[in-house]
Amino acid sequence: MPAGFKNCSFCGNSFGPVAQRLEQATHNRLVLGSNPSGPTIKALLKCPGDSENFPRVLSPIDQLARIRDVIFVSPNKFKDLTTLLLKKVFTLAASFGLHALLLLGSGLRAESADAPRFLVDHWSTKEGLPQKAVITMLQSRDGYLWFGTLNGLVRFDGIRFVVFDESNTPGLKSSRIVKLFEDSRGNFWIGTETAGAAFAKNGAVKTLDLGQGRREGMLVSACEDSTGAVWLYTKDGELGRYRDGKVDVWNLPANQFNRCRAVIAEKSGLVWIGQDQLLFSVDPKKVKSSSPLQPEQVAPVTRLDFLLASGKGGQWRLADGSVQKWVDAKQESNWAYPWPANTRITSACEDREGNLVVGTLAEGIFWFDAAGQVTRLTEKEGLSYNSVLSLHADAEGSLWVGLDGEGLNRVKRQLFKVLEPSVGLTVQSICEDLLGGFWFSSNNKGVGYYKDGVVQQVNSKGGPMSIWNVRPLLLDRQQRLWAGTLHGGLFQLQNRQFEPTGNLRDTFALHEDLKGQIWAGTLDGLARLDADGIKKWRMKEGLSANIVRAIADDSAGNLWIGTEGGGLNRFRDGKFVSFRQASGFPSDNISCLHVDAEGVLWVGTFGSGLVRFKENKWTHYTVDQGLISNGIGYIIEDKQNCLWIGTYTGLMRIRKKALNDFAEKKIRFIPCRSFGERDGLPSSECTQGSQPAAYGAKDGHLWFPTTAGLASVDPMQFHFNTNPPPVLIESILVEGKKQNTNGLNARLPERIVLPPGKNRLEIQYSSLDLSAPNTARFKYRLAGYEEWSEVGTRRVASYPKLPPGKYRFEVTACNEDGFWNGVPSSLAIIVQPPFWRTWWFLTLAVWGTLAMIVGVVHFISVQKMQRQLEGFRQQQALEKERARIARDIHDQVGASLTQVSLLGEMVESDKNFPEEVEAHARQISQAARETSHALDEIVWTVNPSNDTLDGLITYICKHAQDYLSVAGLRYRLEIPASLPAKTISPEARHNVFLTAKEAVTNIVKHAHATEVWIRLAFESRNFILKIEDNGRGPGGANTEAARLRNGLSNMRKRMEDIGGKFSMTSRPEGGTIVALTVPIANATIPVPSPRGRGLG
Amino acid sequence: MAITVSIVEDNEQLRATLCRLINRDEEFNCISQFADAEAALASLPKEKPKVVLMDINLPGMNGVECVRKLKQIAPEILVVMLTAYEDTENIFNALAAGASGYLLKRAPKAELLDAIREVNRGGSPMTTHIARKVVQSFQKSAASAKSTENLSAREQEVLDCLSQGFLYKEIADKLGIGYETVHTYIRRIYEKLQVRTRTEAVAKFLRR
Repeated sequence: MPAGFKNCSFCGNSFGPVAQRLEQATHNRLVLGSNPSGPTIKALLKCPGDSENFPRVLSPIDQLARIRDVIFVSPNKFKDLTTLLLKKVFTLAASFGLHALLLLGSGLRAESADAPRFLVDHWSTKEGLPQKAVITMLQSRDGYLWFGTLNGLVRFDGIRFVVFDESNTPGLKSSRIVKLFEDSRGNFWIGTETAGAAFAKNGAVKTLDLGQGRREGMLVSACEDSTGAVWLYTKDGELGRYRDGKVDVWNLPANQFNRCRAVIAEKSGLVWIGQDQLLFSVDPKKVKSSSPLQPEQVAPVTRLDFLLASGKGGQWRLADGSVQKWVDAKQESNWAYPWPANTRITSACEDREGNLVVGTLAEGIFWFDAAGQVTRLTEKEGLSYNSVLSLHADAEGSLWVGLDGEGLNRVKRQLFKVLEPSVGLTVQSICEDLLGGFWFSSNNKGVGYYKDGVVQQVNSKGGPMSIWNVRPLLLDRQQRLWAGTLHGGLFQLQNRQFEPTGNLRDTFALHEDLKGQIWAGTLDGLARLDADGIKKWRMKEGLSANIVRAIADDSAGNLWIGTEGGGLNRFRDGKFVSFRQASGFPSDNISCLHVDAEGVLWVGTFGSGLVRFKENKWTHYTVDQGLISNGIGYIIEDKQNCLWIGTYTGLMRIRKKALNDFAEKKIRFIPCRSFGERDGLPSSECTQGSQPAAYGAKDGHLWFPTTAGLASVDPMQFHFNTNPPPVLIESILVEGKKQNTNGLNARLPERIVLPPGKNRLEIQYSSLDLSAPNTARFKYRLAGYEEWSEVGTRRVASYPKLPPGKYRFEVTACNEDGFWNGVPSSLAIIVQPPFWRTWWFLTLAVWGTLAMIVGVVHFISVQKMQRQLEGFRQQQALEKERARIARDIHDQVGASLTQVSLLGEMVESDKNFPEEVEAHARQISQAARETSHALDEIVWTVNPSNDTLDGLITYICKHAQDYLSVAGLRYRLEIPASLPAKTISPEARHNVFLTAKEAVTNIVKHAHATEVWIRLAFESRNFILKIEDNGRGPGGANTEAARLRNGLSNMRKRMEDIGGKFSMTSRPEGGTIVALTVPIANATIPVPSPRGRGLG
Repeated sequence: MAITVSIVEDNEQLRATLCRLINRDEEFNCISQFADAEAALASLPKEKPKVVLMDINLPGMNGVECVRKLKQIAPEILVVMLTAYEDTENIFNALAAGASGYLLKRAPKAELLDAIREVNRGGSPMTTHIARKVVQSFQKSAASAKSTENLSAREQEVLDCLSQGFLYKEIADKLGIGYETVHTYIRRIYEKLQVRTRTEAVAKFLRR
């Protein structure tokens, strides 16, 4: 701390803030009593009692101009300077003759009262700029700011700098960017220092054949005309027109050094081309390729400094020592240059209102208003450096300034004004009298009266009011000023002196109701001050607590009393009704009350936020709903239906509509604009403890007490930011890997496809609310997966496990005033399913499964059916066989036995005739033998051990042998010695045997043969049994033919029944061949097969 | 001297009828009858009839087994198998076991007596289908058999002719040998079959 500065023994810490500011040093310059946003002099220097030389004084008006002149001094000069200054101030102050302990003065009042102040933010290499000289800048159509530096092209979203340079941007030949231009199609035209111009479209950068390789060939000016052609102008006079991929180049006179080269397109359609001593226009529609330019108009300039097309039509022409506005060849304005002669103009732009802003080298910024009045912006006003290279005014009213070596500034007009004399004071309450003077109370500093830039302290009879801790001030309709104090009771101003009145102590709140009655809230209950005295209400009388903090009344006749510890009380007709935490009210500790025009009661609490009390229903708002603090000091309403709420952590402005919408559950979050020191408030901490505190002045300004001074603002200056913030999806990460980056003006793909198995997705997005980027709030949804969710200020959406499907990601943002961008940025997302979840696979699988089930069911049922059928067939075959056996036995055995029995009887009856008996006996034995033979056949047929090919053939051979030998025919067998072990079904066996038997019988009976051959052969799946004779052949005697035919048809039928064939042919050597073709079953005989029991 | 005959048959009536029928002819003398194989085995070796008529299907031990045992104890006794039906398998087994011939029960009286006579004379009846069986049997075990148990070329010839339906007489004519020689060959074939069958049985027994 500089010498001579000590803490005040009286007030303890009142020098603190000032002392701190005295120590703020930048660039080796001491800023004296500055407010944080700019070096403006306010000097409070010494306490009384320390030294008779140092009164507690500030500079009076006439001295302040001088003080301002020496405001920047080096630290070692400071001591002398302040001493000198303060001595002068002291003498002056003493001459006021007031019994003043404290005199606060506001220097520069005449100037500073109207002069706009600025809030300047600064970015440099520390924050991510690649280089400190911002040579050119533009705001692209999607909302990003782009800067050209000598170390790359920079994209800025208000928070992050992204650098594009030679190393990461293919096609960009140089990182030294000197000019940027964006055409109406979103293409970038980029000028480099020596590598010529380049063209960037959708991220692809292409070098243009213009100004290559010459330092003087660099691009200095660019515009787009009404035909869509882009004009580029180089420092050495090369003018190029690019249209539809074709280029025309003109070389303009470059025989002399030209400081200025400019090409602009007016709204009228004319293209103006200028250099130091020449300015002319051409009509782009008439300009022909490869023919000289034909000027439409030639402007009479002798020295052109800068040319800017106006957004409202016409042009700003900085030439010949004046700022000129020309519209359609008519001069509308002509203001002399406010800057020194030979100042180098580097840049110019129009602000939101169309006013001209000019940037210079070394002379700062000159901001014109519509009338030509200029506000200068230099290092004094907070600019980081006086040399400006580039300018851009955005739609939100901020001016972006590119500096030559000091990076980037954002300049916003400061809307809050600080009452200079109040700086450092913990102001409690303020009110305005009919004369336009302001009364304000502050901790330990009594009551001050501020009028015409001067503050007077007003004392009480018993001494300075500052010995009492003055809290609320109230100026009633009768212009009586009431002052409540702690410890000192209630005072009333009478004859420029405060006089104690009533018998009240520790007054926190004062209120004049609609009837004009004065109410006081004290540490010891509620009091009403009537002409005839004071009436008090305490807990005994029904009040819920004795500490009364706030009082309000409404048109319904309710008096509302906010207490500390007892919640809210409604007093009407002598009765109290209380609303307390125990019964559901949000808080018992009420700090302030406000009844609005609709009769809605707004309640501030000491730590539980804000409460709306309407029609006996309360709505509770806290930090969770968007408030910046739950500790509320005061509430005041402006004419735009906004509540201004002072809190511990700043001043909030909230639209009542938002609060009502929230109460009606239309919105879930309260957009709340907050203000603090960075907006120009002396302190972010608003005062608590007195009611009333804030004040709405007659001129519409609102006054806010803070713990470091009094601030005022014209609420009408606050336009709601209705610019919906642009929202951009910046990058997409799949499985943590960046898929697509929003590169140099490259578009993100409209859809992204996640291959199977890669389903962790992260999407980074950004809002381009450049004035307050940190207050942008986002909401997004993934249509098809989840609905909208508000995510606050988070700038990334993560989906750790996205199931396969088609989705649409949409993100949008709202600005600080709760205006949502109605057009979300969107991205189609396709998560490919693994093959086993594709439709075709699923379809196939379903059909496959169905087919399999059907197949299995079919197979099983067919099997079952076949088994049943098989069983049925076997059953049938068995029954058939049994029936046949029964028939055979009956026909053959039965008949023979009957004959035997008959013959036996005849033997008995013919016993007397021996010849007869003999004949009968012969017949009997004959019949018995035949029966036995038949039985032999039956048994052979039935015995399953004969179900083999071998068994069949053997039996046939045996039969033939027996039969033929008896008949006396020779026979030969030609049968393989061993036969394949195949089974033959009983039916087939029986039929083959009978057929063969009949064939042999036929031979014996009809063929007249002498020799028979039985041959067996095999062919594929059949065996062929041939029975041949050497008889007279098939065409025998006609008489026998019929019989034979019948026999043949029987034989044929038998063979066909078993799936075989029968044929009868004549033998070449004479005789007949009977061939039986019989299929052989595949089944082989199980070996060893159990032999059936033979019959003995 | 009458040919002594013994009968092993479980059917009592048939047994008695056969006995009566045989005894009617002076050429034959039925000396004993048995209802089962066990009783027959106990007595026959002592009685030593020339020819035994043996039913194949007997209660207890069957006829084939009985023949095998009997031929071991008394190889000189000739056995003719009796069978109701021409059960080739069993007949062949019996022949392989040592039986000298077989008869159908339904055969007329003359045929029955002829068969006994024939056997007694040393004849060996072999029908075509039995011959086929024999051929198969020899083929089956040709590889493993000793050379002495194999058929000679002439025996093979005779057997082949038989299996093709040639009559004895025709074989004799065809091969230029005497009728009796055919019988001799056939007897040898049977002997070799028996030896072979025994060897097989032993081998089978040993393998168990």
